[in-house]
Amino acid sequence: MKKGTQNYINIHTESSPQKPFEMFKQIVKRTFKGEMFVGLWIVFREMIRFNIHTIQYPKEKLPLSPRYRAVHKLLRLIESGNERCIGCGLCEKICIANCIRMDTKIDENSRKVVTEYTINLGRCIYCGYCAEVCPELAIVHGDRYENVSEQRAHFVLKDDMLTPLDLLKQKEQKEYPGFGAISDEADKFIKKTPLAY
Amino acid sequence: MSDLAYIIETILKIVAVLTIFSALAGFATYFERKILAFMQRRLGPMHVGPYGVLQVLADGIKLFTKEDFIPQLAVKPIFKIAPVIAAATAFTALAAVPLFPEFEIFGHKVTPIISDINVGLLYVLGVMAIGMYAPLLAGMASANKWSLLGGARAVIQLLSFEVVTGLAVIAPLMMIGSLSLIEINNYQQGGIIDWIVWCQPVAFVLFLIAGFAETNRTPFDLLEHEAEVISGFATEYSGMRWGMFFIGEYANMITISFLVSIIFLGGFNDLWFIPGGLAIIIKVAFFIFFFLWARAAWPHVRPDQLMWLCWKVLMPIALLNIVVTGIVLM
Amino acid sequence: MTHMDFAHPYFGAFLIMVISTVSFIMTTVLARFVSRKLARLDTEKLKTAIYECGPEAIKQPNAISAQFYLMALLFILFDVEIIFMFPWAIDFKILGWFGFAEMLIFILLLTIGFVYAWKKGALTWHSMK
Repeated sequence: MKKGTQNYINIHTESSPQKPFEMFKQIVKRTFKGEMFVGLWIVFREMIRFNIHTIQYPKEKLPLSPRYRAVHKLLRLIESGNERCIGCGLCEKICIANCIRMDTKIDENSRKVVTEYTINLGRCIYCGYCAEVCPELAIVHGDRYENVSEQRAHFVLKDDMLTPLDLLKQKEQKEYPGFGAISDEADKFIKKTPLAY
Repeated sequence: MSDLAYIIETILKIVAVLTIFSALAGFATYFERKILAFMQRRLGPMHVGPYGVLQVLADGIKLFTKEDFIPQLAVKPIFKIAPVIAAATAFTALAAVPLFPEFEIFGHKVTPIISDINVGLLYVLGVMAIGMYAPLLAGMASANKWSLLGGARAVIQLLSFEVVTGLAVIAPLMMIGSLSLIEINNYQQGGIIDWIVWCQPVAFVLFLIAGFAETNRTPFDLLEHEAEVISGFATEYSGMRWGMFFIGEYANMITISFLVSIIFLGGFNDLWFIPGGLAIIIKVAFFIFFFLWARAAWPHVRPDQLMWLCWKVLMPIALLNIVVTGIVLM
Repeated sequence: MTHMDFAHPYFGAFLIMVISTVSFIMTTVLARFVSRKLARLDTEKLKTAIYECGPEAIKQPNAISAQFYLMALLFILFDVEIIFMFPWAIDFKILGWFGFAEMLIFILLLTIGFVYAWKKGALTWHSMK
């Protein structure tokens, strides 16, 4: 084959018959070719092989890759138990869904500490940039993907994934009124769906 | 035997047939779901009871306790009576079908046929044809375009294939010379060689295809084709009323399986070492399995293809089959 | 054996028709009763409306293609033929050549009608364009 010449493949197109007799011939050919019985055989074979591919989800779960990106975890230093997070704010900056908010202060030892850290999981797209950008490996993605809830408000108050931060008790969580966060009286506006749960 | 004993015996038979076949229809849904699942490498119902056996019960409870609901514009009496027609005709058709060979219980001879009619085959086909009113009335009473289309499709499908059923069954009748299903069965007493399917393979295939069409099973289930007409005539139905259409469909399936087994496959005659009662159960079970099997393997056809198949292919073949049978028999 | 009124062959067929109809009607009545007690009853307007994907339908088009009627007419023609053929098929061996020839003529006549319907396009499904 010469350089630069394209190797076209002609897709086989069968012209559909127009005359009644040709149509009849096609039908006869297709009927006695046994394609119907091939179909019957294939499903029967699969039944005999009994090679079931179902995973009964709540009972058994697929193993997850270590690189799976689900609800975040905040880690601590193993030796001292201190938080790994140094409050650099890179995750807040890089978050393309704009869902991470943090607040820092200088404490009495003149060290920077994180006072508030929230991730709005309703907005989070689990892109993994925050974990990638973190210089201290403080924020990582965990493997908890079953974050179902009855109300959308719960997806902001997901601080239980951030439990390593003992400072953040669930009651003290304060939301930033920024874009994407829910308002203070959001619970009032939740309309129950007609299906009673 | 006095009148009273006869009446009691008949009523007992009827109650037995009604309860057993309703239960069988229920279990057929379970087997259908399981077999379809296995053929598609799934598990099917697993959660209610061991291996999902109690799914039937759960479905029944659900159907019973569901809100009984009739849409606004529906014609109420007709809407209510249509599912009853579907179920009742399906069971009435079973009356003339001999289910098993005669047996004795407490020294009393029992013929497991509710009414031994000498035109049994004609009766069964006729009553099954009356079942056509169910989708028709349901479709027309629902005041819904999907239902109407489904009803219309049901009617032309059942009507057209009734022609094929009738013509297909005439050829074996010419050999046998009787319409009584018991006599058709007795004609094939001589073991597997006497089965009519060997003399009438064309009629057998035609009758089976028409049976698929008359019970609305998959290659021809156009009247409940979800992608085209939501659920056909049953679109507006829910709860037990819908369940009755379901029972009717499965009872029809069992009736057709019995008919095919009796007319073409030797019925309830003893087969080698297998006693007749067991033989017919095996045959019927195979045909019900075949119904489900075909559903897993084959796609639907279009309505125009269905009409083409019926009028331009199957009907001429059936007529030719009759003529050829006549020439051979002469 | 004396004559028995109830031993008529159709007695069982009649009885099963009555019993099955009554029992299935009773089932619907029972289901209605049970569901009245247990199910949530709700007559919201959109719920009682005709099944439709979204819009509230007041009236639905109530016409179907004339093809359906044509098929039903054809069925009448051929079903009458079949009804005539059943008695003939039963007595086929008794009637002999005479009956067979007669039925051949009958089938021939019907085939003429069938071919006519075919040529006229009654058997092909015309789209409503």
